[in-house]
Amino acid sequence: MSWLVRLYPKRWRERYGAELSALMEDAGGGWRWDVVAEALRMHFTHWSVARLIVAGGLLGAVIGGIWTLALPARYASEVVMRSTDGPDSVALVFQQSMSRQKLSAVIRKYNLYSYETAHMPMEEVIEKMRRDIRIGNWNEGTNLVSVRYANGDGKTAQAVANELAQESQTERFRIIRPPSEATRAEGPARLLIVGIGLALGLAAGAMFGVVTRRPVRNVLWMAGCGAAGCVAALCIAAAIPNRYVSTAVVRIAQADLGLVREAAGARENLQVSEVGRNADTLWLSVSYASRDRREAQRVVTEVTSAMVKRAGRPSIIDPASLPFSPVYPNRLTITWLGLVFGLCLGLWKAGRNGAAREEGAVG
Amino acid sequence: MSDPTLLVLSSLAGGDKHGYSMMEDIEQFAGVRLGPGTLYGAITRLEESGWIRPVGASGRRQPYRITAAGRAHLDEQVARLDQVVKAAKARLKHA
Repeated sequence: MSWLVRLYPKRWRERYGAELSALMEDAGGGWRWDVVAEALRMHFTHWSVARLIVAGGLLGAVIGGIWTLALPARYASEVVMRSTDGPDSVALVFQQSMSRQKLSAVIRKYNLYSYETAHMPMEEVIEKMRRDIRIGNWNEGTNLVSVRYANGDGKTAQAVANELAQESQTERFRIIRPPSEATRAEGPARLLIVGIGLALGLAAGAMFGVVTRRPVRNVLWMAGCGAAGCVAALCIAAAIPNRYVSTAVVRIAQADLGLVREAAGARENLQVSEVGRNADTLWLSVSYASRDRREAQRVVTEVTSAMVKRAGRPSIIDPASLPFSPVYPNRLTITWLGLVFGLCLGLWKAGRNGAAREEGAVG
Repeated sequence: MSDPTLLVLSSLAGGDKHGYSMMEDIEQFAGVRLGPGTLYGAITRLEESGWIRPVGASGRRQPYRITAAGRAHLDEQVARLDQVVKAAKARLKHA
């Protein structure tokens, strides 16, 4: 038997292998690719859905791996600054470092994005640079602000991060940690890309298997189970009561913290947490969760008023909000989960149908 | 007309044949030389659909025969093709 015939699935070979070998002898050479292509097609159309899913996943992971090797490495450098201001620090740094004028000067100085500068309007190059810059609270609830810049070259990333931070350094901001050395590549997220390739490959293998075997019946099973999963999830989501959260922000003197906490009292579902501080001032967030959105707002208003009465000096920066949408349950997520569960169930059923069918088929 | 299954059915409508005879016959009446892989792919699908069946003792050069269901399917396909050919001819005449 020709080695080409060995490329076909075993059960197919047992039935047609000898005949195909005889035909290839009679027909002469020159048909190699025709036989190879048909052997591959025979594998794909006769494999079980489970086998297709595994093969699809492996292929997806391999493609993802090759893709990540083609992507250039990225290095990031970070500067940390201390602000003497409250929660507005990030906005101030953002305003100063991200201005069009500043960024276009930095691009020219360090010869950044040379390809883009030659082929795109400056406005778009600046937008691209803005996407490579991250400005945020270094640690939630502190007055430390970080400026981070990512680039294909580590030394350039470090120099640009420093340049951006210097722009913001005034009497209100002090650099407390100079730009970090960007020696270790932080991107691309190779494992994530391989994972995405694997997941897409699994899904593609499953869809291919379902669509090529009894397409109408299997697609109907999947659609039916998906719809049933959605309906079940919607029913569950509807049965879970809504929870609304109202929040207010108050500014107090640090010395008054004890009095203010005493005024707030100990109520279930009431949360008072620090969102920022400077030398003698604290910013507190007051939030209350309830099934009734108006009750949530009323309780937060009462608590913040009690704080003002008790301590005398606090000022309400943000009054109690009236929540419009519940924070819990997340009905969209529940519905998605129901849909995915239903589709998996449909896929499992389609796989079982395929396996039962294959018992009597060639392949 | 280049659908291999239709070409194989048309060839078998003229009598039982094994693989190589089908290849030769198809080349003669349709001007298409099917490769061994393509031909046996079509034979597999046709046998699975019940439109052809092997005849005689099984061997390396196995002859096949068109079934009644295969003949009915071929009739249907030919009628459809005929309709397309007639429409195309009429349009070419008026163009």
